[in-house]
Amino acid sequence: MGIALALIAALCFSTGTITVRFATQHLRPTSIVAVSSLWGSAVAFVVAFIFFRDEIWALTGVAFAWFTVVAFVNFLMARLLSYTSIYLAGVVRTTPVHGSQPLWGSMFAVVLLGEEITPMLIAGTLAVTLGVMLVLWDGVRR
Amino acid sequence: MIKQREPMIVLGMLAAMASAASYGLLLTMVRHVVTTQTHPIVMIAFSSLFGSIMTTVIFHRHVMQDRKATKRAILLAGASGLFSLAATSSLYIALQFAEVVVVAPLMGATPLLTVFIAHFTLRKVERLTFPTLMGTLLVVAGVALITISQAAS
Repeated sequence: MGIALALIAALCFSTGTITVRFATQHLRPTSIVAVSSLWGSAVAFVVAFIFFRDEIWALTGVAFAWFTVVAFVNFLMARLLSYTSIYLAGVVRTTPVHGSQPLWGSMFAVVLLGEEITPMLIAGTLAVTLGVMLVLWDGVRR
Repeated sequence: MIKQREPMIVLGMLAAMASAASYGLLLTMVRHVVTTQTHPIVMIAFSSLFGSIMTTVIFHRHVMQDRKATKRAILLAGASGLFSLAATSSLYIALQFAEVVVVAPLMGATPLLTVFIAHFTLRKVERLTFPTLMGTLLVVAGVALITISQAAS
């Protein structure tokens, strides 16, 4: 069940990226972010109201402050930059670069949360860096 | 449609890198919010709504100009949001049924899957080259090592 759902998640992420590529042929990245987040929010609210109504009523001011910060980093930074990159350079060139997210995540976790640096983390970091450099070189060379 | 000239491609690649870094920062923040504040789906609902409002207010000119776009274009943009929501929800549920060491490498393979789907669906507008494929494989392998390392610690 877990593996099937993980595969569905990966397929949805991929299909979503391809859908954005098609949408960028007609709309600006900013408009795609506005529309996509509104549709996602509408469905998420329906699910949240059905299954997590108590959690919604229990939300504090601190939680809303966090939602605002998360919204800024997610939609105005991460997603807008991602859609802009697809708009400018295409899916094939930018996808591997987007794929380096866990590397940045672990770097932030090491710096901000004080997580441990392991040999496997160093090996993974080297592989991701080399892969991204190869894609960047090929993207600019073409 | 935009012409993919070199300066734009370089700018696009830099935007992709900045986006990946932003997602990395986001991941750390989300981990904190869902462990201290509320359920992920409640966070997604509110932060998506706030994100849509912020984007519409800041880029209102773009949004107003694009509202004349075709229904198909709006549907594609909306569908991308739904795919993103479905992906995130499936991932959270998957983590309740399987361990991170199983789920994370599968998720790390997403770029490879995307590149393959793009190769077949965007054949007329984008080309997959051998160095890009190799680079993607290296990223996927590296991400698998990083996630296994995180899960082990």
